[in-house]
Amino acid sequence: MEIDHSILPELPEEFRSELKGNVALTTIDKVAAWARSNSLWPLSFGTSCCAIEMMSAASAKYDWSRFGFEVARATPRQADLVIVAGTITKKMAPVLKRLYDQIPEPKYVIAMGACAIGGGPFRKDSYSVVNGVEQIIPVDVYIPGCPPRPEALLQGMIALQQKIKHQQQYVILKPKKDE
Amino acid sequence: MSETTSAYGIKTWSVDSTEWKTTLMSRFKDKEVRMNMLVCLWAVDRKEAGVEVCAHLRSVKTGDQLVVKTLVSDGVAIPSVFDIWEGAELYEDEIYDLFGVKFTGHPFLRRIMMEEDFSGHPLLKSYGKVSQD
Repeated sequence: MEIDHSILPELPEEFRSELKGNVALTTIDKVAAWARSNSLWPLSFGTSCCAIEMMSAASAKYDWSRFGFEVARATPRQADLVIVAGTITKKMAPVLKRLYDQIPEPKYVIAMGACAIGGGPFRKDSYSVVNGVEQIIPVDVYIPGCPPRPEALLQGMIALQQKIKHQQQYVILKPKKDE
Repeated sequence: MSETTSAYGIKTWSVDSTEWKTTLMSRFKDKEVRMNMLVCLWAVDRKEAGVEVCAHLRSVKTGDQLVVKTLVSDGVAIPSVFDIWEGAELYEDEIYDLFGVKFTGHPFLRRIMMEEDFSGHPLLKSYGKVSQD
C-alpha cells in the first residue's frame, strides 16, 4: 500500500512527524481487496481426477497455504470461491448451481481442467456431461490441462488474487466529460 | 439350462430368461456349493438378440465361482433377485436405467445414474449419438 504524506492536514511540525511514523492512509477499497485476496477460502468441490491434483496442491509438497489459499471448507457458507475440479455431469449441474448460490458475496469461480472449461474428452456425443461449467455459473479464471499440474493451479489462483487486488468495489467512477 | 462353457476354471451357464430366477435360487440353496454371494450383476446390449443380463456368483464356503447369463428380448420383464440378495437392488436399478430391462418384484425400480426426467436408455446401441453443439 502506498502512503501519501502530502494529504496530511495542516498541523504543527511535532504532530506531523508523529503522524508520519504511526498513521497509514489508504482507501477502503485497497484494504478490502488486499485482505480478501490474501485469505481466499476455497470450497472443497472435486468431482474427478483434477481433484487429486488439487489435493496435491493443498498438501505439503506444493502447499498452497504459502499464498493465502488456506483452509478448504466443506460448506459453501464459509467459502469465498469454488474450484470446479473435474467433470460436471448433467445430474451434478443443479447441485453445483445450488452450492454456488449458497456462497456469500463476493464469490469467485475457477474452472480447473479441460472438463470444466469445455467438456474435455466428453464434449462430443456425450449424453451426460455438461460442456463447460460456464453454462451453469460465471467463471473468473480458466486453468487448462488434463489435469493441470499443481503449479498451474497455483498460477491460476495467483491470477485470481491479482484480479481481486485490482478490482474497485467501493469506487463509483464518474463518467468522463467530453472535452 | 441350455449351454455351459468354462474358462479359467469358472463355469458359465446360459439359461432362458424364464429360468433366470429358479436357476439362481437353486444355486443359492444348493447344499454342497452354496453360492451365497452376488459379486456383480451387469448387462450388455446384443442388438437383435436382446439385452444380455449376467450374474457373477461366488461361494464364500468353497471359493467356487459361477457365471449365469440370460438373454432378455425387447419388452420382456425378468424377475428380480432382490429377495435372494438384497445387494441386487442397486444393480437392477442401474440395468433398468441404462438398458431398459424391467425387473418384476423389485421394491422400487428407478433411474439411478441419469436424472429423473431423462428419456431413453443410453447404453442401448439403438440410442445413438447425442450432439450438444
